[in-house]
Order: sequence, then structure tokens, then C-alpha cells
Amino acid sequence: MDRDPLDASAVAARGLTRRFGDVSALEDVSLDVPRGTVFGFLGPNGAGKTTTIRLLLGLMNPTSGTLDVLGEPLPQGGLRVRRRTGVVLENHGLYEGLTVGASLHFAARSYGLTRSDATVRVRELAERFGLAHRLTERPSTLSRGMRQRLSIVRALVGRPELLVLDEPTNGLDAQAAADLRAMLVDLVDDGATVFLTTHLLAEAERLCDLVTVIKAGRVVATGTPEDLRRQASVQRVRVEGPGMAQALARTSGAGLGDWFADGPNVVSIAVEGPQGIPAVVAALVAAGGSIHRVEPVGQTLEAAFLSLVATESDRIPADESPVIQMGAP
Amino acid sequence: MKSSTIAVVAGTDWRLVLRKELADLLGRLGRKPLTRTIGVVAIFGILIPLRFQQAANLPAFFATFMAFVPARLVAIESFAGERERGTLDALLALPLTDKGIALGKIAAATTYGAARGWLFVAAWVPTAAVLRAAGVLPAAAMPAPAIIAGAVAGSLLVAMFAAVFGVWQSARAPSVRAIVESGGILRLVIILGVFFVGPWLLGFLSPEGATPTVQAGGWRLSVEAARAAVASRPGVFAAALSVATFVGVVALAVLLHDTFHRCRREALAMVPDDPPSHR
Repeated sequence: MDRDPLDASAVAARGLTRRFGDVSALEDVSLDVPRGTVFGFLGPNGAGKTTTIRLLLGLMNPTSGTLDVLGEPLPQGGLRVRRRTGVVLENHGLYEGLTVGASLHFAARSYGLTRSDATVRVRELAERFGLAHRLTERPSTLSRGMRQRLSIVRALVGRPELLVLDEPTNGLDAQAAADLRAMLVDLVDDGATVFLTTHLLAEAERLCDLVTVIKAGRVVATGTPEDLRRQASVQRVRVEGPGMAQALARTSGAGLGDWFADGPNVVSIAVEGPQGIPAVVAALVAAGGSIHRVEPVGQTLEAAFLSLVATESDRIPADESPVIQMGAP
Repeated sequence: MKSSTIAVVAGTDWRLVLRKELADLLGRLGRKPLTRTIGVVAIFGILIPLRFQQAANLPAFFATFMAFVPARLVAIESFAGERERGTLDALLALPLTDKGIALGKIAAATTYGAARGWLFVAAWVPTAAVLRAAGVLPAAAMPAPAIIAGAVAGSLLVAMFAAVFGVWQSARAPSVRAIVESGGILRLVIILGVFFVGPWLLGFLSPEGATPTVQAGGWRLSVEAARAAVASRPGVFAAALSVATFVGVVALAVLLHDTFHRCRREALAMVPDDPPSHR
């Protein structure tokens, strides 16, 4: 693919802000997504990921800031951007009254393909993605994995230069998720750029060349997964035992690092290297905890993510039984 | 109409959306529209003329009503229904123009509504003719050609108006239910208008001698009085008709313009009452 050196970013955002009345969904967000990469956009629910996708597609105008996608300024270039972009949304957005073939044909025609070209393209993609024998069926007869596959094929009919995927492996079985990852790698090899939101951090770690973490509408970190793992300057220790979250809450912090509870019996606590583990164990035992297992956890992207998005307000009250929560004493 | 609108009309986006809308609608409804039309023809095209044998224009009136209701139902579903079913964002993410999407949805609702009205006429007229030939229906119950033409043209016009107005409402509504719940008084006004003005207009426009008959007593007299008044002052009538037509066209153009404005992606992508859910 020919590339203008001044136009090397598939997505370039500067000071992007979007407000809904008094609520700020995005605040001063800047992004650079190089072409031909898989870009991971990570954040907890409500962080501003969907708002960003809507801005990228020109479905919404920013309150302030600038956004260029594939060299086109938005919102003016929205239609031109959409012609070069494919989208897979989390809820698929499939028409239940249309057959698989009709759905794909409609999408292909909307990308400007002639009737005969659309038929050829649909057939080609359907065969590649195992949908060729389902073209006359309605989406309601398909499994969740097949619906996701249909949604992906629909995004690919226009030969997109930018593929935007919102939680693409949600609900897919392991094999389907692996197939999707392989397909994304193929697309990037062909020169496309993938903009991916996911809450599966292991997936982001495996797939993404570059990752941005967003929290409450603000970018809190950007880099390669390796960079982010390094930025997370803490290691964690995972402690299991009955009522461990309650025991942790009773310590009232007691000099412990950031922590989160993964159910009532499992807690994960930040430590300054392995030498910090005995102090954690001592504090939990002093608080009445009965420890069954202590496991040092290496610096994963997940650990980095959790340390980046954890807030004081996420702490678990001592008298509540936690499920999955995060905290920072 | 702006030149950009004309360009869209000449383009293909609206035709793509029209075909998609109709295919999706018929795919979801199955055979319901056909069976409903047969039921309505049986009741309003056969049973009522049999019971009230002078009511030759009543089925024509119901043809326009048959066009109005489906066109409105399809139109209010156009955006609000997609929003409810979670397909709107996927549609807006496709490289279709805003006006192409809006026009396609208006055309789909118009086509579907008018087709239902025409289907009614197509079923009613031959059935009435067969029954007349068999001596079941009296000659007075047979519709005049002008009434049939009025039913065909009226179905299209009524469906078009219902489609534009329905899409206008649907563009800003979070759900179909919200539209239905908010339109109580308006619905009453429309139904009263259709029920009272519709038959009167059909009577007024009928050729002399084929004047209908659903209007009994005062209604019929008022039609005849209006005809007499028009005959005595044709210039005034022509001027009034011109003004009314002009106002109607302007009103439709304004409504269409505002519908296009409401159907911009920026406006459509906003869920009206829950901004944080956009995230």
C-alpha cells in the first residue's frame, strides 16, 4: 500500500474532547495509531471507548479537538472515512429479517460495489469464513460465533484500510477466537490497520502492537504491551483463603500497596518486589486471615492495567462481601 | 429542494436502503400483511357493502386508511425500531449518505403503505364486480371509476404523508413505544380528520349521479351545498384550492427538510435521554 510519509497515522487525535451536557465522556484525548498495526484501546466500562469509536466513524462530532482518520479530517470527511473503514460492533447489529446473503450484499453495495462485484465478493468471503452454506439463512438461526463471523465478514466486504472492532471475541469459543486473531494478523500483513477495544487483556497482550489505556475519558497510558508492563512498577502477590477480602478490608491499608479483590476469598496486592511479600502475609494474618496459598504474580498487562485504572473510590467497605473490585489504600 | 437533495434522489443510496428496508420488513413480518389485507377486504370490501348497500365509496375510504396505518407503523419503526433492535449504529457506520438513509426509509414506508392500499383496491374491485355479476351486490354498491382512481391516488398521498411524518418522529425517539405514548392527541386528531373529512372529500369529488352515499342526511346535503357553492363561484373555489395546495406542498417540504435535518448522523447517534450510555 502506498503511504504518504506525512500521513503515516491511521488515526491522529489531538486534544479530543466530547461532552454530553455536564458529563465529559472524553477529555483532552490524543492518539496516534500507526498504519499497518493492531492498536488496542483498553479501559473499564464507561471509560469512553464507545464514544471514541463513534467519533472515529464520524457518527458524532467532538466538542473540541481535532481528529484525522486515514488522512481525512473529521467530521467533514466522515463519508470518505466510512468508505475505507469496516466496523464490527459488540452487539453485531444484524438485520433479523434479511438472510445472511442479503445482509452481506447490502453492505457490499453500500461500499459502492456493483451488483455483480458484490455477489462475487460476498461469495469469496463467505467461503473463506465458512458461511457459504448459510447464505440463505436468517441470523436468528446462527450460533453466537457464526453471528460474530457474519458481522466480521460484513466489515470486510469493502476491503477496509481501517478495521474497528469493539470487543470482537466476546462470546466466541476458543477456536473461533483463535481464528479471528489469525485473520487479524493476515489483515495487518495486507496493510490494514486494526483498532481494537477489548476487556480481555491477555488478548490485547498477544495481538496488539500498541496499547492505550483510557480511564474516565482520559488517556492514562500509551505504549507497547511490553512498555506498559514495565511502567507498572509493582509486582503483585495473590493471596487465597476463606474470607480473605474481609481480612484485607480489616487491615485498613496498614501500609499495603494497591489491591483488588477477585471474589470473597482471593485478593491481589501490589508489593515492591518479592521482599514485600512477608509483610503482606503478616498483615493479613494479624487481621485474622487464614491463608491457604500465596502466589507471586509477574508483571502482566493485566496487572499493569489494573494498577492504572484502580482508584481510591473502588475500595471495598469492610462490611461488604466483594466480588471483583479494585482498590488503592 | 436543494441541489444536494436532488443529487441524492438521483443517486443509489436511497434505493439500496429502500430495498433493504422492505426486505427486512417482509422478512420479519412473513405472511401477516397478506392475511390482514384479506381480512380487511372481507370486512370492509364485502360485508359492509352487503349490509349497507348504498355505501359504494366506503371501501375507497378504507383503502386510504389501509395505506395510512401501515405506512405510519413502518415509518415510526424506521429509526426507533433500529435503535431498539441494536442495528442503527451498524447502519450509520456504512458509507451511505445521511439523506440517502432518510429518503430510503421514507420511500420504504410510502411504498409499503401505498402497496397495502392498492392491494386492498385490487382485491375489493374484482370481488365487488363478481358479486355484482352474481346479483349479490346491487348496482348502487359498485364503485365509480373516479372513486377507484381516488382510492389509488389517495393511498399514495396518504402513505407519503404518514411516512414523512413518521420518520420525522422516529429520528428523535428512543423507542417506538415512546412515539406511540406521546402521540395520543395527535392520533385522535388524525383519525377524526380521516373519518370525517375523508368520506366527505370522496363524496365531493365523485361525479354527479355517482354520489355516494355513506353520507346520509346532513352530510349528504352539505356535500350538495358545497357543490352548489363551488358552481356559483368557481374563481373563489379555484383560488382556495390553489392556496390549500400551496400550503400543503410547503408544509410537506418544510417537514421533509426538517426530517433530513433530524436524520443527520450526529443527531441520530445521540440517545436522547441517557448520554452516559453512549460510552
